[in-house]
Amino acid sequence: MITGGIDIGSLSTKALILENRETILGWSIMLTGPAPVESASAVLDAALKETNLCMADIKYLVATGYGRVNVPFAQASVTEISCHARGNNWLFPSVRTILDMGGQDCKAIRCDEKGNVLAFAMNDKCAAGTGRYLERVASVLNLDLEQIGPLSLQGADKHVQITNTCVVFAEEDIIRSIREGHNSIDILAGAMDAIVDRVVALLERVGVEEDLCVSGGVAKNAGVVGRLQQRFALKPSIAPEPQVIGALGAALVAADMGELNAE
Amino acid sequence: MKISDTSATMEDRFKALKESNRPENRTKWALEWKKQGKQVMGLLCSYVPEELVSAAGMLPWRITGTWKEAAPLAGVYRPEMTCRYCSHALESVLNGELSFLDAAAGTQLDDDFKRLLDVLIAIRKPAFTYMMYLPHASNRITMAMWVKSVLDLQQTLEKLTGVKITEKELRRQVGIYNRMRTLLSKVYELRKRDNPPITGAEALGLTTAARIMPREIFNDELEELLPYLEHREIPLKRSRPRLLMCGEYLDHPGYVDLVEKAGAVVVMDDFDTGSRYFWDLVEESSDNIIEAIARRYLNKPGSSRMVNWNEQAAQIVKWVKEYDCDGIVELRQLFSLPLDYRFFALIKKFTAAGIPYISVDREYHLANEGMLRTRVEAFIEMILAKAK
Repeated sequence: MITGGIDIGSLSTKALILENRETILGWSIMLTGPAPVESASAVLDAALKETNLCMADIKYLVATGYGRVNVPFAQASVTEISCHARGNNWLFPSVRTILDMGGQDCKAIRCDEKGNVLAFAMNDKCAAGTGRYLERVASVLNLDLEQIGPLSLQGADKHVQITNTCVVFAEEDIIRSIREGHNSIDILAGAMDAIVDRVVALLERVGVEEDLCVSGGVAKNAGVVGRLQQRFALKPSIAPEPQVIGALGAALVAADMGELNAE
Repeated sequence: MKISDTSATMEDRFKALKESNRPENRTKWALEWKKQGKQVMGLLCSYVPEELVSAAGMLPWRITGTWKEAAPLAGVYRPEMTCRYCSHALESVLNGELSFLDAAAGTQLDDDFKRLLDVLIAIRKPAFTYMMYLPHASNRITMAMWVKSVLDLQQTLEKLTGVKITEKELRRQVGIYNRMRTLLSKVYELRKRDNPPITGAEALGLTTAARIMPREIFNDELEELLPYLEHREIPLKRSRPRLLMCGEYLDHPGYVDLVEKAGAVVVMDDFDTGSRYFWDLVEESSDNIIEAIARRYLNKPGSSRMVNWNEQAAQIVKWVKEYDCDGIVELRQLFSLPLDYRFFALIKKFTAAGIPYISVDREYHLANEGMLRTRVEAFIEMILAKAK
């Protein structure tokens, strides 16, 4: 049975096609843009293109992410919290704690052996601990987003203390540090420390249990992941493409629906 | 004056009653009351004994803050990150929405409320504002202090209105309020059913209506509606999960509606604007009616500002069992510190009792619905997965 998952996030939209809940046939990632329905349709087409399948071949399709209710061709919508737990559990069955760091939100999830959510905590109304924060940090330091992870690990022990995780105030802190003559790498390292402090607190709210995995776009940032590894003294599992885990979870929920209806 | 014309259907009458506190209807009863040459007292706290206000001939009218998004006028007097209800209540005073009030009263519920009352007193809007003393606990010593506070309120009301509050009138008012409490309890009893005949949002509509209407009119209407409600049926997509909702100063039914639209059946609440407003009766047979009133108000299920968090948690756990709830959703008003601190006590108790619990920040006015819905839906998915 072919199932699909679409994850409409605040910054990017992801689609994934799954066969018999065993094989990932294809996926695609695009910027969400101002029209989530069109983005959903385009991203699904792009994912299907890889597979030689067409829309009619997808038996069940589930939408997730903040734009989940806007997908007219999905049979159901499920929150990204449940989907990330399912997706990560499928990839890493031993994982019990999940940190998903997306474009504009960040969630800590604890799950059981089946990938069912036991507890979760999310950032509220604030972009601290998210991809948006990293984007602003990179921009104000005139660096590429891809650069900032590895660079932040090169900082000496004299990290500049960035006390604010609020995107707006952190930016002010960074500008002040530049004026004070600190070098960019030390400032960057301080900004990374601040974001990791924030997500560690979020993880502590749900309780960290081995194993830990990190998903979402920020999982691609070596600076954040390296610091998490240091804090918890364990190596987080990360999917080869951590941005599509929500869509993978949605495709797994779609498979559940297909099996339930077949019974 | 009737709520709706007599030819209206029972459903229309129920709709009119439950929507009495919507902005477009909210002042109707207060203005009608004033047309009769009588005064209206705005109340900022569910601990102010309403029987006394009524016995002085005033209409006790619970202040709902403006439901508009911004509170720019209140920003002149209050920092941004303080109790949002207090700011929105002040905004409704400053923007003229409450210009009909003759007086206001509240308690020093917490620092936010104290400062709000200070501002009202300083700017003399309304013309008279009174702050009652309220203890933080209920015991023999604090009860004596509270009785004194209730007597002080009585004297203040008499001076304000020129009306002598007689024991006979006070006992009559206790009868009216106890009837209201009994009627609302009967409505809440219906919520214990597998398929409750009213939604959680409708229940909040009723309890907030009770606090702004002449209580006898409210009672008569609800009494006539009760047989209809007993047989009313509302279509439910599914009968579970059944949830209890917690919170303070939550008077916008849109928040309860949001939880229900996320796929839950809200069957009970721990709102000061809901169950805690009418829970427990005044002992009418008591020889000392003032003391009986004082006891009822101080001993009713506690709020986050009282010290008895263990009792509050136990009360909520009891309700969870009685109303057959699968979990608890707390919509915690932003910047309300007692609620933030109580959270840590509650989560321990609810975890120990095996009750799923989520606490999410919210504004006072209806806002950030998408963000809230995601968290509530995830909580519901968690409960449903556990039940499988």
